Amino acid sequence: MSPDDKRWALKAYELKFQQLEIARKQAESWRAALTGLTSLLGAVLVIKGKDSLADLNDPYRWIVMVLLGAALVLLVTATMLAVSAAAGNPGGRILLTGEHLRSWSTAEVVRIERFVAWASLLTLTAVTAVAVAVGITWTAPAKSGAVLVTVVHRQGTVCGELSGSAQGRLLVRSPRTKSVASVPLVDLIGVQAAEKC
Amino acid sequence: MSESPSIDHHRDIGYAEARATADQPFTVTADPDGDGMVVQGVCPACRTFTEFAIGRGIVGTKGRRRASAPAPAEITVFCMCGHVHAERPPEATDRGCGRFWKVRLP
Repeated sequence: MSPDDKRWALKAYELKFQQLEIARKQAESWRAALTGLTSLLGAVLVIKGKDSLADLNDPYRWIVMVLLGAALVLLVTATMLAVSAAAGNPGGRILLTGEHLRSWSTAEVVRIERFVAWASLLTLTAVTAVAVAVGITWTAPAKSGAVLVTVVHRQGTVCGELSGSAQGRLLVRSPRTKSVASVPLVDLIGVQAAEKC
Repeated sequence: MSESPSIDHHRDIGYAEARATADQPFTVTADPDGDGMVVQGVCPACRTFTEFAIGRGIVGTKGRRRASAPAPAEITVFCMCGHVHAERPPEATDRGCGRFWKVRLP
């Protein structure tokens, strides 16, 4: 038995009279953290770059969506870990003796170190994911604004982007091969808008 | 307190933060006013009845891992006789002679 034993016992004894303050402080920390979590969603979506993911071609659109979704999950997890390390998880009680408090403190230090390390790692990963997503939105080819049509003529059907007409012929560009089909206007039977070719 | 300390038995010793050894049995009972416990007995130093109430409360976390850790078999209690002892430092928060000792939990 050492003088430290009494110091721990005194510290635990005093905690009995600080329960309300501890609970209130913990509640304030969690309230601030939960408020911050709601702003994370907006922050991640604001910094993604282009206004609309719908402007991106597949598969870039899906890659960006997965990256942003993963970044959001990682940031939420990192925030929860950091708050848990800073304020603890509400709901648990221990017997307020010096021995219980010392045991709790020792375990808590280990837990805080582990949580902070994980929170840092997850945050860095999330920021990297957002950066990659922003890079993709800046560099990936965007969808063309051309109108897809199905052109029915006497010799058959052509599907592609309507690129214009010249010298009595309708020009239709294939979205995949980029080759241009030329349909004489005299052979034209009808033109219909198409979702895809 | 369920038992009044007798001033006749009280030894007017100076305050000192020193370890002591319980030479009489201490009782450990559930706290009727809470979910903690109450340790009662005679201080081995100033020979006065002392009652040490232990609460149960939050300290800032849930403590899942501590649930699997073995609970301490002995706890440290200190004199809370309520008498004013000489040389007691003004910053002292305990209300006794300053001695502390171990009590085995049931």
